Amino acid sequence: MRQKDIETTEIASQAAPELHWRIRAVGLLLFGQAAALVFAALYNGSLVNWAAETENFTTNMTLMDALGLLSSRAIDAISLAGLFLATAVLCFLAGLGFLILWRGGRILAIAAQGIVLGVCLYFYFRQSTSVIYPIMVYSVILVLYLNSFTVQAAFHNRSQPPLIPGEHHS
Amino acid sequence: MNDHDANVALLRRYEPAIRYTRGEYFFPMEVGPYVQRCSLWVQHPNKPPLCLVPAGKLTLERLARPHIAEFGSIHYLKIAEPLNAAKMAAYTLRERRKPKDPRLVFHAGRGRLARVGYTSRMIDALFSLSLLARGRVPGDAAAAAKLISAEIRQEHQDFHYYGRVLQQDGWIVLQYWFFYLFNNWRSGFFGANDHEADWEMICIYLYEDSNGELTPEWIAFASHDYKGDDLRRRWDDPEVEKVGEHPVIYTGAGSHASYFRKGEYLTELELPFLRPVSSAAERLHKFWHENLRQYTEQHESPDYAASRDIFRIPFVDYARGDGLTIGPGQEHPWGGIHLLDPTPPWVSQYRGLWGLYTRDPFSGEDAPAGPMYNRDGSVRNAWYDPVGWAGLDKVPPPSQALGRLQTRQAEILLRMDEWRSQIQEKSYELRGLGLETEAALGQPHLNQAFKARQKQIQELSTAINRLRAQIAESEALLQALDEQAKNYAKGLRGSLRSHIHRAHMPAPDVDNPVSRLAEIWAAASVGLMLIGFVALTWFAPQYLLVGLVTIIALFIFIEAGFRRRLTRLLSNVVIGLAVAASLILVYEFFWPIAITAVLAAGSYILWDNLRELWT
Repeated sequence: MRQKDIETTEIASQAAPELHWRIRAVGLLLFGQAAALVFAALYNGSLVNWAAETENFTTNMTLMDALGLLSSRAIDAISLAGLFLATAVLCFLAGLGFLILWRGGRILAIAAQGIVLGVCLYFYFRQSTSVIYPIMVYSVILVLYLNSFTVQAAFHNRSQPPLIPGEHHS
Repeated sequence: MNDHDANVALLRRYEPAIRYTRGEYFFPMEVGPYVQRCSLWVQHPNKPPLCLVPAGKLTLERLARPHIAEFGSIHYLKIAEPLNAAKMAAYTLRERRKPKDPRLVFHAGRGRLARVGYTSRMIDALFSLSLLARGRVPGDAAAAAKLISAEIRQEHQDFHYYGRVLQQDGWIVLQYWFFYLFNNWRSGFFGANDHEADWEMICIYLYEDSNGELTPEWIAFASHDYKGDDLRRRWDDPEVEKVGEHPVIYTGAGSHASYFRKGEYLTELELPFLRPVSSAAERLHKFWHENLRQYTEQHESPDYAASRDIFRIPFVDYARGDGLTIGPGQEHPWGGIHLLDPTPPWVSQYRGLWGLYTRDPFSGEDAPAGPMYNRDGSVRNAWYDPVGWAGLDKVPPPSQALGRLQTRQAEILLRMDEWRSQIQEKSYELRGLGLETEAALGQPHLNQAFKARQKQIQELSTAINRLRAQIAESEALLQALDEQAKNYAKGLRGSLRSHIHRAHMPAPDVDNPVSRLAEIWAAASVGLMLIGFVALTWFAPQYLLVGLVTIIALFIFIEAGFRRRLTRLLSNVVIGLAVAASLILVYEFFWPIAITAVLAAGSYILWDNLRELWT
């Protein structure tokens, strides 16, 4: 066993109950984020007058033709909804990962934050919606929490299996 | 036995064994044959260099003669006349055809550039380019020096060192000086500099024990620009390898810096103009880590120190010890020993450089001066104060430690007595003043006197308080000294390594050594990136910004892949996005954020104060 492993195990085992709680709390926060993303996507979609947008639609139109008739605001709403809903799934899976203390959960969570922030920054510069601001705040807080020493310390040694409170790796 | 013989015997008793790295070409030699092949020059300010003594005519006696020159003049020796094209071609051909002795073949191994990130590589590229502009030893000088060295070695095959024995502050210092014909660290081993001539030194510090025996206690190796406590190790430190009573030196290939352990040492060159940027980055890192409690690579990466010092240029000093060895128990014994006591005139009288003066503003390519002097002609600290040079001036020899400790205790006790009597005097005065102010209270005509007394009372109270604090601190100190005295009496010694602030350690073996492909990438990436920038500017200027971002992102991604740090890269990108998002939020909602912060602070204070009422 390398010295690094020993130190990590010591950190993990000494602070195990609190660490356990914190990791599960990240899982809950990720579930919250998934819900917030779904809500933001739906709320942003509800701001578009879909009746007016679709009044020129005909039954024999192709998808591309239909999209061509939509306003940029409607297209933005659809794109945002698509991206947010896909990321919500990712957040949900990451949250599950944290709850069952699966190591890959952290990478999923970080990737999800990257996508969320990237999407928010993109739509910020397009100036098309303001639902992104609360999502940005939530995501920034999650990034800081995910990168905090206690959460990272439990995960930074990739060679170890998931940490269970009181468990010692030999 | 006279002093000379006794000193020689002492130096012989502890003379070091030196282990070189494969590929090392220059070894400790006598100065006589070197000087004989040198020409002596002087560089007057704003004038072309002037040859004072041509090669072949110079002797140590002639070198020691006074050289009168105007202020700002620099005297220097010159050994290697640049080879002409024909000689250089012949030399290269001969070297290629010659059967290679494995002891002369050097393999760099893990490349220095693969150990650091892009910023350091960029700065390194600029440093390399700067060599074209600033003064440097010519490229063929190392080849010429090798030829001269081979010539000298045919006539003088022994290896020599120079020694001094001197006494300072109760220590007997054995100083071993090694002279090398050339430092080919840059041209031979991808290091920072080349220069003609090289003087290296180590010191062993002995004390006279209760039986009158001279016992070694400390040893210090000169290594680049390191100085003070970090240079020295206690004789019984396991890091000090020994063959019998002889310490082992692992010498850096080409640089001839001395190390206690074999290995590859990452030596970082900090450029002075980048120091503010470096310290700003350091402050930012501290804020990120300590105030925001964010995770850093501190506990993850073995190259952490190197990865943090991104504004420094990395050079590897290879002190592998797998090459030729000299000294007791080694394959080659020491030949001669030359005492520098009394100081020979060639040491004390010649203050110039011992090799080519290149006018390099960083001085790295200029030859060093002799053992006694710095390049500017001032006396070397290691020469006139070898004890202070290794930070040993605050450490008494073990035989004197207990006595000095007891004297110190007596001094402290005396000082405490003095403070106590001062307290007594001041307290007496204070009480008098207290009575006066009490009497003056309620007497309007004594208002001024009352205020003056109050001021005096405050001053005296502060002074008495300070004295009492000093006494309390001294009492604690006396207790600590008492404990130490008991340890000394039991024969226990102080901590082995607590004096070391920043030990120079070999670069650790990494768990995942980078592949050959990664090393090639590390060596080629900066050049490729610059070529990519130029190609983009030339062929697709309309996509300059997008192209630049894409190229940089691509290079960073490839680099992270090679280093198996894609997860870390992902984290860093997300952190970057989070910082950008935070700035946008602050920009968009500055006043709401400020008002919320004030409201939150107000609510907290309110809650805290009300809680006090209810409990």
